[in-house]
Amino acid sequence: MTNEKAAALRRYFGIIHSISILLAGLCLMLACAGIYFSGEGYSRDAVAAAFSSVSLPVFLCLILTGVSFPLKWRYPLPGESPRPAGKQAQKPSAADTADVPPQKATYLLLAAGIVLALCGFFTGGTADVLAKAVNICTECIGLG
Amino acid sequence: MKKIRNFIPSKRRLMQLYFALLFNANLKGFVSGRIYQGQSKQFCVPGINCYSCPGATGACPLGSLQGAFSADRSTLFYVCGILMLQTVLLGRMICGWLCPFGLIQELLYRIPTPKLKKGPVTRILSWMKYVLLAVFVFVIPVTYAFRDIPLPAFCKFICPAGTLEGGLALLANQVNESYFAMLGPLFTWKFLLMVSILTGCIFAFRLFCRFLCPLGAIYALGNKLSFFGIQLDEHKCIDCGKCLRTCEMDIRHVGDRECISCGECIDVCPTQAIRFKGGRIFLKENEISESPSPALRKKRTALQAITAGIMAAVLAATVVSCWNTADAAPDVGNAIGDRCPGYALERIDENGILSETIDPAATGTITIVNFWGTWCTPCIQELPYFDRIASDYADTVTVIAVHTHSVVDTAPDFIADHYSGSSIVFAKDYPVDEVGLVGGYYSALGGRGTFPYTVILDENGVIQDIFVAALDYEDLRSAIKAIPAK
Repeated sequence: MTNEKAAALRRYFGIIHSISILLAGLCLMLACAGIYFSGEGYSRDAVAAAFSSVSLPVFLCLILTGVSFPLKWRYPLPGESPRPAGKQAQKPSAADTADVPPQKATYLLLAAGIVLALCGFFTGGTADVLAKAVNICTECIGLG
Repeated sequence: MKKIRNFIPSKRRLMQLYFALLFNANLKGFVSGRIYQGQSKQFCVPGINCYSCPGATGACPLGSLQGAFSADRSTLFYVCGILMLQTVLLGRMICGWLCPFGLIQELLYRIPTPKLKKGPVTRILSWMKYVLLAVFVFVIPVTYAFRDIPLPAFCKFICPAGTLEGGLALLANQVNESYFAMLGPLFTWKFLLMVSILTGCIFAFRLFCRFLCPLGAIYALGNKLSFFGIQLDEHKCIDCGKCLRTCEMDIRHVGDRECISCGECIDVCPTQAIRFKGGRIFLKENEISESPSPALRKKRTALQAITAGIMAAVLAATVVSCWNTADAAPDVGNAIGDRCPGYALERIDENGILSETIDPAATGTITIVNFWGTWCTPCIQELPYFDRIASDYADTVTVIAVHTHSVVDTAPDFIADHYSGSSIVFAKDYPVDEVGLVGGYYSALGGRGTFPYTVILDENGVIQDIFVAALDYEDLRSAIKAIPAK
């Protein structure tokens, strides 16, 4: 296949692929908004029904994704490669690897960070972070 | 062979996968639908990883920071110190190598569709995360904190990682079916936003990371000063611009605030002017010349094997430890219809802990037990309704508001400010014991780590109703009326 044909094919698939993804996203959002505005409230069944209604575009997305990857590898466009060929080739030599010494500000920040963390540790900060992390405020994760 | 190579993940991808698994090693949580309650959650992991995710083994630094600004000011030193250490050690290398949500975004971007190129518009949009940091992480939580209302605004209104890893992961489990009852406009908004962001990530490289992530903005502030990251040798640079064209982030210079140190530019630099900072410490590969000696090659292989072994051992130990901790957590929760176990709760008021105790199952009246915390917004917003019920039904209903916290008790000050002289009986519970297991009265009444949580008992101490959402006056009145007369 010529490069032009491969590019055209890739572009064609890319457009369909993008449309199917956008469609799937839109369907998911509409399904969620539909449940909310129907006034019946969320339930496991309603959510399952909403998700099943978007299964077609999602299925189309998956199929196209499955097709697109081999297509991309078989007919790469000029300059396109999932793993650049020179990735393993270029390594700086030992003489080129001298570290630039960290600035004074870096050490100051490091010291400040250690002091703050230790202050927090000894004033019960870790226990409070633990209490917050194991007790979930449902509203904070968008549930309530 | 070339096709097979396409499937081999890069070292960076392996590291991302490793840390995504390490930070979510509580595999049992995904099965049981319960969040992990072990000691490791007192440490903030680097990167965005919601601590409400059933698999999360550590605390999210951004959630902890908002918690510190909005309620637990005692944690401010600790959280700021940890964030400062993460920034100064790794900077935005965390975004590129460790962040689990960064991995999700990059995997979505791998879906082959036409991509949005970076340009002046995306560079301007990249400033948006600093605005979000200032407004949603600092200004709103601090402003509301002055009114004693904890409001982690970014978690509540925006964070797609919280919706995906916390909200949806909890909802997906059958045991959390009761959570569906509390879904409303907030969930609708957050779900729509999450779908938009994740869809956007398919077309734009790391859309959330580049434009919206306040944690990335914090790390970016110290990116140039960090010990590890990317550095450019300006003497060798010939200004060919290949690095900038290769990079998919909105960088202006190699290693600037937007650079996530992914290292893609190292491979394309024709003069080898770009390299990892601190390469001599952990990226030994950089020290190897194009044709290393057999001894050096052997040493390098051994070092890599040891590192991989240690990492695998740490991961295995974390998974096993989480599995056992989750097993050890007592599952003694009582359900509707069960008789509430007798329990002596310590009473508190504006002066602190009192010498009296109260047993909710033995009040002789209908008892509403509400578990709340000064750090929980919906808990505080529903307390006035409980107060009204307590005064309207003073003869027949006892309202017990059980404050749940571990170390620094902010409840007495809160009671003094807002509920001095209230008919509510305030009490204290210790849901997290010294080894990090959820216990106490909260667990005995079926609490699963989510707040607010309300249990209604009849006069005989039998559980009549359980609510895992915020309630209003009408909800409470209906629940009381639904209890059969004695």
